[in-house]
Amino acid sequence: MLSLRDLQAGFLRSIATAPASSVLGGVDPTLLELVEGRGPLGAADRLGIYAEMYWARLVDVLHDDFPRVAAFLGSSRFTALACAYLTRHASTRPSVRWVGADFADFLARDGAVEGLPFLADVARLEWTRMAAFDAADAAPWRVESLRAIPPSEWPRLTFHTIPALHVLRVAWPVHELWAADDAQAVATALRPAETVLRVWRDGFTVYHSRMDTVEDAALERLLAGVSFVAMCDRLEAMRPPPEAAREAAALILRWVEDGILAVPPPAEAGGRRWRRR
Amino acid sequence: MTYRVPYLGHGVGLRTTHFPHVLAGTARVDWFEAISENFMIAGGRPLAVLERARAICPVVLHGVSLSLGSTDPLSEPYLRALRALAERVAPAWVSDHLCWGSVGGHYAHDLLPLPYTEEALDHVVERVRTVQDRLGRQILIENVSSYLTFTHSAMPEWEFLAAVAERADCGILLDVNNVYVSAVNHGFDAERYILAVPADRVGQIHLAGHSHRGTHLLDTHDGHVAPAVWDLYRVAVRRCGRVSTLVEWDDRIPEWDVLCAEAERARGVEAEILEAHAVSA
Repeated sequence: MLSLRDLQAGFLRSIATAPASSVLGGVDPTLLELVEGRGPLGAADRLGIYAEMYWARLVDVLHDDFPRVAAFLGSSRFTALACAYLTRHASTRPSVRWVGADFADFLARDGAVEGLPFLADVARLEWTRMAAFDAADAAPWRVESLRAIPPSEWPRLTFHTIPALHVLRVAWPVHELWAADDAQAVATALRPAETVLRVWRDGFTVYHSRMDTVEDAALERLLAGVSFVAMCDRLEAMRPPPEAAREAAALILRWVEDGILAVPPPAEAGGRRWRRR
Repeated sequence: MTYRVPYLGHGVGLRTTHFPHVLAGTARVDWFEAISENFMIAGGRPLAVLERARAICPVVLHGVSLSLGSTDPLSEPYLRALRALAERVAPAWVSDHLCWGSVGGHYAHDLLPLPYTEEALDHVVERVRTVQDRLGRQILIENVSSYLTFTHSAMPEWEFLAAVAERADCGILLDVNNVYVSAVNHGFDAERYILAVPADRVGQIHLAGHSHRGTHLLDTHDGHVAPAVWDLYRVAVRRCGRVSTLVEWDDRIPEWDVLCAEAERARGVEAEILEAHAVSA
């Protein structure tokens, strides 16, 4: 007689070790003896129902989370890759939200598909957009607040970003695929190019935008918590001083318009809408 | 002790398809059931919808990943997240399933069947008690649909369910469709199951659609409640009286009005049975 633990381990091994066609190949005979076979369904058939549901459900989850990867691959190739991923990456968290956590890395490392060398980066962007979708809420700073800051305060200002802001570095300009009416056609002409994207949520809508080297450097400094003047100092390595300050101010305005700068928490704000350092 | 929860009437599941109705304030229904795990997130639209729903009507939390029957330790992060969500939402009650879904740290994301043995009974009772302690509230446990049973089970499912509820002092979410699906798949009498459930512990009823797969029924939640399940619901209402009832519809989800019409049909069936009962009494 199997203990409850052995029964459960044998059950899950039977349904989740290998996908679809080879399912139940490794069923523990002791487990099979414990499963009632009745009517038109034998014991193995009944275990097979659970196996079929296991793979179908988790492939569906991945399909929902990576619709663009799925569209590039087509149904059968996506299912095959998803099953290969699930075979190597069992779900270890209670919520299906995290089933695809390693899918992009899997595609990069083990899931190379001929003709689709950018696929892992597409998956990275899809996953990052999902992270922005359900990140913690924060009240974004609005332009009126920015305009209310006296010019004399600007040099020492520091800024907070919203939790739903992510910076994604990829080897392919996959954001071009999102904007394209015909992503398949654009994909054919896509060439590798180191690309930095910021991904964020404003309200309930998720956006992404390519950053040039100046914006990347400025945002990196802002995320490090430096003052506005220190951000300008960083940009002066890339632009002449007056231009650097103007560009830094323009970036702050753009970020505020995009909703990625957050109103500081009350304790830090000290009754003001920004923080000085 | 027994289990007492408020009567909420006839509700529907809170699903993404109908989020716009909730946000627009046009979703009129007695109450919503929200899948707990879908809202164990930091923020964004789903939580905003849940809070909006909560402002419109009562909400209950229904989990699918507690894995009450698993031999793995209960997930402390999960329990903390569930407690935090319950404190935020103030649900009328919290429920999950009488099953297991993970072992060795591997989650199947399915509702897998238990053997109905004394070993499993002791194990589940202890786990339900622990969960209730951690959450600071009684929970409801739901019977699942199943496609296999174990030869070494020492009691029928309805006895196991009743014993867990009595010994752990929790409530029962009686899924009438699951009873029917399992009855067909395993050849037992569905009505006998309903009549054996301790009525005073039934705090909620589930209704749903299922699919015929030739050799068996599959619990697909993708269509109207089947006539045989409506008949079984009548038996359940006769046995349990007025119990908050919810229509589950999770795949091929219809328009809001179609879903609400199914909930209204349940209201009508309940009224028909209770009125007949009142006349005969």
